[in-house]
Amino acid sequence: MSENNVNDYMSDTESSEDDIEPKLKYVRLSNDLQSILLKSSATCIAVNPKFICLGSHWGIIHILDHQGNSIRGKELKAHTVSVNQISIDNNGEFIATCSDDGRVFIHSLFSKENNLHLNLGRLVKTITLDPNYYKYGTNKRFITGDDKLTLFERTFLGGLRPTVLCESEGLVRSLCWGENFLAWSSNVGVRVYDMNARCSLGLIKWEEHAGVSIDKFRCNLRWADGRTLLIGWVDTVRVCVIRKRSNIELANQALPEYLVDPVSTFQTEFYISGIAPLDQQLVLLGFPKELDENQKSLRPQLYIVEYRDNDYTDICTDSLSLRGYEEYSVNDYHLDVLLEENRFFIMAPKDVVIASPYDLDDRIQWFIQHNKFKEALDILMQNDGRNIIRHTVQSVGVDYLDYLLRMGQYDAAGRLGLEIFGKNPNLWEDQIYKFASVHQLRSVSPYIPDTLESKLNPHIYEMILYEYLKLNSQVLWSKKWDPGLYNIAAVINAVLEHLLNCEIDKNVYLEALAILYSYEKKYDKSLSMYLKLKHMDVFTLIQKHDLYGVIHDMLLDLMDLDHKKTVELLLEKNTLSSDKIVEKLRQNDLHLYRYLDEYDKKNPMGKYHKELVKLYAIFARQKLLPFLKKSDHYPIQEALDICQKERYYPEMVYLLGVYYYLILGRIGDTKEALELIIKELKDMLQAISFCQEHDDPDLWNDLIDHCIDKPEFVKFLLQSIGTYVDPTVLVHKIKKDMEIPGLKNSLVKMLNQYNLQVSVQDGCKKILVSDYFNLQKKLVKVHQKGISVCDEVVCGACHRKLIEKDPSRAATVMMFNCKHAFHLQCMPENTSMCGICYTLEQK
Amino acid sequence: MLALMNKILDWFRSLFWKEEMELTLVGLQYSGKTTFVNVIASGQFSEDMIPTVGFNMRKITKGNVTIKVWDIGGQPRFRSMWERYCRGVNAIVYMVDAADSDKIEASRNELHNLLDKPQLAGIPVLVLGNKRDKPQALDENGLIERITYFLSRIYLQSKTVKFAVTPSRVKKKDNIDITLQWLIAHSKSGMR
Repeated sequence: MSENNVNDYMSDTESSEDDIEPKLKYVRLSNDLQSILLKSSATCIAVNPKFICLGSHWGIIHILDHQGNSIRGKELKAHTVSVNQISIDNNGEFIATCSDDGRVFIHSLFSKENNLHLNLGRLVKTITLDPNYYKYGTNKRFITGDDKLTLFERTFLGGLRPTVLCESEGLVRSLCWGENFLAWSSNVGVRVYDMNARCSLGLIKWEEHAGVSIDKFRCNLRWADGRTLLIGWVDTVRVCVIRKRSNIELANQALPEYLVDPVSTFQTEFYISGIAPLDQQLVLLGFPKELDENQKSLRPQLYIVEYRDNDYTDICTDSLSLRGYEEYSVNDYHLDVLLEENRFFIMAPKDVVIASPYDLDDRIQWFIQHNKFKEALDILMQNDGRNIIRHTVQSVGVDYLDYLLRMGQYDAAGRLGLEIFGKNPNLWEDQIYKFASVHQLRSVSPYIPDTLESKLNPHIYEMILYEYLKLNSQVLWSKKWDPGLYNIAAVINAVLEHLLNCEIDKNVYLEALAILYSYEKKYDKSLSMYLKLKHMDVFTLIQKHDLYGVIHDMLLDLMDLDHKKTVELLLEKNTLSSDKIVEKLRQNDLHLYRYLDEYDKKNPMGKYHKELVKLYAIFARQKLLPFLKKSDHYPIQEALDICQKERYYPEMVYLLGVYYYLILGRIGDTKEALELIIKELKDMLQAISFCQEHDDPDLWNDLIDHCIDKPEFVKFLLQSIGTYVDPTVLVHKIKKDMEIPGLKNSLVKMLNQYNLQVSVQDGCKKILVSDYFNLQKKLVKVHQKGISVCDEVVCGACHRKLIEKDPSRAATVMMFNCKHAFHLQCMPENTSMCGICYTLEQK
Repeated sequence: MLALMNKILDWFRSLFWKEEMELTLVGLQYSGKTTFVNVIASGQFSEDMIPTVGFNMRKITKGNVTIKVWDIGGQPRFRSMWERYCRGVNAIVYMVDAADSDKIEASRNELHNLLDKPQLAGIPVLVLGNKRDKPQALDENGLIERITYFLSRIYLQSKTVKFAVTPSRVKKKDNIDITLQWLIAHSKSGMR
């Protein structure tokens, strides 16, 4: 509830420590009340959720609403002197008042029928209505307190029956009727009375302290609930609980059903003007014992205390600047409470102030005022914004943000932004300029929304990038942001401009440009940036964006950068024609070689074998010979020339062999090749294998001729030639007187080889013969076997079944070894061949 | 003799079946709340009323139903108290001046604010269009349309608030009985 038009009343907090969060807020009651209190002063108060009753020292009862407006027509001129007490029933229909003029009023607020006037002729100090007075059909009861305690009951016939409940304990100053129990104070202490059983539950004696007489003080009684009684008298607080006695106790003795159990008793440093509960704590209206230097009263104070058995702790203390406080003493102040609302009414003769606990809004406001934004936000988060009207996460968040920016905690501010604005672009846009104005966009950049769904004004991203450019080039956010978020062209211009004026770290900017260009789909520019940087990303860029079209001009640079990847790239997709590539790469043979080498592996069509021969000759001789042997797509003459130039004899030998075979179409001048092998390579093994390959007696002769004058070779020949040609030719050709080292051994070896060959041939022959016999035997055996003619077998010619159940239709059957069978009459005359197999054979 | 018997019977019935209800009357100033209370309480219509300060409290007995009425001032400074007086009552009567089309917008907003209070959830609300006898007054449908224009979406479908618009003419005591019957009928279910 916010009584907006009531002046805000702020108390002076006694403790100057601003850090303690206050518990209560205060509002001064104004409107008609102001004028009422100008003319008279208040002596007592009673509150109801819907209205407030105020008794004045003129004896008038004012009915006010909760803003202090007087309710027209309800003012009561009840008494002639100060009203001592007002009591309202639970439903707010009846009020009871009493005064020192000896009169008692029971007044119905809604009708005049049930009003009651009594003149008791005593100083009626206190009165209480039965909380259920309004109820229809109950005997309406009320109790007055003067020098004795009297219960009045309406009788059936409308009469009034007084009963004196107590009269020996002195003046009854205070009365309080809870649900079933009554509490009152007298000169000796507080007595609790069971209204149902009509018996006293006991007296709580009040010790008198030296120099303080308890009858000078009003006893403050309040039922916190049906069973809990709070007593504040002089400077002693007691909390009592009414408990039911156990059955055993009740059975043994004639005791009342209930007993009063003091839960807590403690002394305060102040006199008590009022007491009320606040959850598990107590609210005490305190009056300072000491006076100020002018012998005037000090301000009354409102305490919230936590009570224990014999002790208490102050939770908070507020000094109340009530009007005219200097003049009043402890009994002039009153405290009443609306328990269900925790609304406390503090009454001074010239002032009424309402105190209520800080609600969530108040707490948030206080936290904000004390720069404790985190706590304020926590409250909002915990309560999810429920019951909070004046503040939102955003409103507090913005204040917090301003604060953090003021304090220079930019990163924290950025993080806060994420927390409170989340991905809401509108909220962000409103606040981001604050970061811009202090050049701290960098701090906030990790936190702002960067998805396309929740993107901010592109201008913001550009501003941030620009700031990075200016102040911190090392981190380039452009990498992380989706290019759809900002105007790429604008950023490119900014970077270019910056690049002109910048000497160091150019690479960072170039890389940024490369990325930006690629975002803008200007891939050629992007590529050239990367190439300038010699950056490996270039390849991924090409692959990602299919840039094969534009890389043509950059091939050599790419090859320089990383030939393996380039080649891989070129071969992966054949978008770029190999001709063009080769054309381009001719400027650098090494690159050409690398490319073609790989190209050939993938495309073994032999397209560039001419070039490859040349390139292999230069860069990879070990690959040349296998290549020459494998491929037949190169001009042999050229290859030969190259090999000749480089003196690659093995290759030449091969080429020569092929050359004559292919080009001249005859097995001609292999002699030249053989000569090369023997004269240049001096490799007998190869010579022999060369001869073997061509298997030409002339070639063998040549070989022998070439070797015959070299004893070493002759020896070698003698040893190895035997298997290929008739060694006698060699032996004949050996010149007389020629010394051949190890001739004897060689000869022996040769002869052995020859023998071996003969014996192998013999062995083969034997095997073949025995094999033939075996197979012949098997064939005969198979042919001699019977062949089963079963039900499924049909005639090969008429396709009817051969086996007939009917003997009259049985026919002669002819069966062949190929398992084909025929009826004899189905067979052509004089045939002894299977019709099926024979025709197949003929075909 | 029979009449006497009936009277006695009524008296007994009223003893045992006496029902009590509490309702709060709110609405902008000069919409006729206090006049309405006067008319249902005493049947008297008085032309020159002064604006209510704070509230009026009345108790009205109709048959065996006793109605406690809180008639709250409609001036802006009292509006913050409306919620306090609407809390816990059996029904809220919201009075609208059907003849003052300038204020209907404001009236609607205030009603909206009031119904937004979580403490008032579930209390039936009756919107009364007053001053129907004036020539420029809105008819029933027009009023419903203007008042419920956006309330309907939020509240009419919710089961916690009963909502009805019954244009009444307080001055001529038209519809007063219908209104009372509606209130009594709807409040019963809302009785605590």
